[in-house]
Amino acid sequence: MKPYNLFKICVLLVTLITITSCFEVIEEIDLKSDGSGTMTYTLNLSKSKSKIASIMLLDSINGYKVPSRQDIQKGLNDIVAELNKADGITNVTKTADYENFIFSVKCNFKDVDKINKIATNVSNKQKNKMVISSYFFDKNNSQFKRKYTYSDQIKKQYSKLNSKNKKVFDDASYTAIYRFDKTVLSQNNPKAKVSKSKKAVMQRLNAMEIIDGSGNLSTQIKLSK
Amino acid sequence: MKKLFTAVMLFAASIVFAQNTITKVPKDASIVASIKGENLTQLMSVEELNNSFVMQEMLKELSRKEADYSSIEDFGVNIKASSHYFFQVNDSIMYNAFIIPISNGDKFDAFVKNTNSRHEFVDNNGVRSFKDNSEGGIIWNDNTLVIVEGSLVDSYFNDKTVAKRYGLKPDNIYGYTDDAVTEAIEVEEAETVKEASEEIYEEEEIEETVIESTEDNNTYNYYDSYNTNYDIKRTLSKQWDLKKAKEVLLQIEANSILKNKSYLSSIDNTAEATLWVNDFGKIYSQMLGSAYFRDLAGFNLGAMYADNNLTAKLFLEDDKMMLNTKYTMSDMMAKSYKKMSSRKLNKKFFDYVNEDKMIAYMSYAMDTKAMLEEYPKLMKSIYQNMPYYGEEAVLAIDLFSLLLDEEAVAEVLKGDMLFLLSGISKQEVTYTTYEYNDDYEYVEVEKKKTETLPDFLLMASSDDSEIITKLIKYSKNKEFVTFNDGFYTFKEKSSPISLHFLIKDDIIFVGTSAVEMKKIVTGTFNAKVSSKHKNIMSKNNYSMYVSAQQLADQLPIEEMGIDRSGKLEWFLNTSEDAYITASKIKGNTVDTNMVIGVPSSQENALKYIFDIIENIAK
Repeated sequence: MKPYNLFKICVLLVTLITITSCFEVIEEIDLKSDGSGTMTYTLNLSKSKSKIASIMLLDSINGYKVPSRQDIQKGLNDIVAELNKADGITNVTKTADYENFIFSVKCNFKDVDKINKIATNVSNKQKNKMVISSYFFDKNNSQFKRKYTYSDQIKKQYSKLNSKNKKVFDDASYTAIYRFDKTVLSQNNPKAKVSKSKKAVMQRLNAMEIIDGSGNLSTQIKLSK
Repeated sequence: MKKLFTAVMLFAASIVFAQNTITKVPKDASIVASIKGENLTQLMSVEELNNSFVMQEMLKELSRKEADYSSIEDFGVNIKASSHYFFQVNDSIMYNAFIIPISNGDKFDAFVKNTNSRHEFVDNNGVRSFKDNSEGGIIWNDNTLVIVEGSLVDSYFNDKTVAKRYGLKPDNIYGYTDDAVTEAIEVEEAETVKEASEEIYEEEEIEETVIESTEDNNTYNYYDSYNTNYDIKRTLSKQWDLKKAKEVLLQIEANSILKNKSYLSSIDNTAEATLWVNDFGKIYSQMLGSAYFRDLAGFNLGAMYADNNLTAKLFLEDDKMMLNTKYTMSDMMAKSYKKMSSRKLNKKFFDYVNEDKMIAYMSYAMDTKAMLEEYPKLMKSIYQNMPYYGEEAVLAIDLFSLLLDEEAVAEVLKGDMLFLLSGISKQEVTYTTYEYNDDYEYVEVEKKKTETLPDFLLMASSDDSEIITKLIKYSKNKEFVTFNDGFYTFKEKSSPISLHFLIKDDIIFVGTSAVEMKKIVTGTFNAKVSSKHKNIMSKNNYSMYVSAQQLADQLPIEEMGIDRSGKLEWFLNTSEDAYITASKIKGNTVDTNMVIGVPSSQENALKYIFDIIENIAK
């Protein structure tokens, strides 16, 4: 047996035996009274770093090509380039921590509708539209709204995965945080919480709640004038 | 009475002859595989087979059509007799053929009608085949079914004369230069097919295939030409397949494989299935045919594997299933292999094996020095006949041998090694997550969790570890590795495993468990190896073993998330140990054995296989 094959078997064993991976996604919107703000998207795979590091030593796993560090870098650069081209989006930055596998993209927006346009563009390019989300801010009434529509495509895609890949979503979470420069008077999502300072709202969902449609990210937040 | 006795004897003889379908396999077949129905039905009765999950599913599927099947015997196939497969090759076609005994011709006819209603078959004096050759090489009588699937040898048809004879257009995407062959051409028989059954079988007239030319030099289209060629070849292949199937069906014993001494020596009536491969060199030479120099640039695989043959036998016993393979080499290759495999496994390795924890191992013992000396010699036999660079290739191989100090390399790594999956251990790892303040702003925090990781230990013999020691010291000076507790550690930040290594008593140790390494350094390793495993490892050149019990005990199935249905856990809990060994060469032969234990809850290996399929599939 060639040493490389032996090495491959060892790595495969590690990927098989190590605890199944999980991840968390954090979406942050910092909104100013004039409707401009900052959006940050973070993907944290740190809890699965052992498994990912092992997988990345392989060329492919379960028939899927494993992206190299260069592939990930290129993917992030493409997102940044796409955002830079978008109207009303500025200061696009990215961070990539390959030790802990934490990746984030941050940008400033002129108004939240610019984010909706990007989301629509991305959604139009997708064959299966899985999650549709849009944001609205009424400056005059100081009201922020997130509209979230569940599509059963996400469930269909999930059901196509084998049990090993499904396990990835068991402990995964999605967190949405909205921060404002004014006080939150009320919000209508029963699963979301208003911070002690009354300047932020946070909602955390398990990935399974998003997949099966039992979780709802829609909210309407009334701010002080 | 005499007449009755004669009639009974004739009847009995006809059954014996009819069911001894090995006589249908031609003498010059290159590969023969057999499944012994008689032996299998002793392990599992027809009734048990009919009640098995696999058969129930099959019967259910087939009964969806018109007929209602309740037993495998309803198909008309004789499952109590042997079925065979053979591979025969000549310069123009490779035949894959299956010979299946039939117990009841009428039942089989009905089965064919039911399962293949789109195509009619014709009965010609008891010999049935599909009308208009629609299904190629499928033919049967009341005793035997023959299925032949041929594959034309492309290189043969690339020859201009041959292509012209069959009306093939040149596959030349750059342009058409030759004049098209436009005359009506009768499809001929395969060039070297032997007329084994001419004396008893009056050949049916093969339908003429007429290829008319619509060729126009100016409108030549590569894809049209490709499609036409494909159709011609397909028709030809179907005709040759049917002709071969007829030959096989009507073949007499005098022309059968039973006249081949090499095959006869491989017969084992106690095996449930057998495989015989005659002379790999000949198969390579025949298969490569005229492509030999053109497509393979002169790699003489035929010479390298001349007189190399293989027999494999599958035994399904009460307590184990066993696949025994004997690979016999030519004198030249055996001489080299003997030298290469002269090394024995270092017995000191056993001081670092703990059977109570060990999940699996793999041992390997070859002589590095002999390999470096002998391998170039074998390579020479492949390259020396290359038409253009043969001389240069041989020179390059000689130069390689001259520059390489085989002895010095062999001192560093002698060629024997033992790889252990020595257990599974828990390890604390850190990860980054977030904590939120009153404004839901977060800070990154580091938390700890426990992960399960497999422990490996690799041992290799070395008489001269100076170069490796220098390499390790260099790595330490450059801070690639650290040195603690008497061993070196290499840790890449993102990798979950740390690699530890040390050299002690002329053994290079590479492992993932720091605890084991410490014990090796301090001489406190708690070794435990039974004589069974010592024998498996030391008496063979290669061995591999997997402990089903250790796997079931140690594998964190739940954590791995791969067994939601509980099937893997069931399988591991009911499995027995498995191992593979490759013996030292005896004469010119190497024995390879694969043994899988059968749990005591099972009656025999065949029933165990059916049980596994049922439990996994359900």
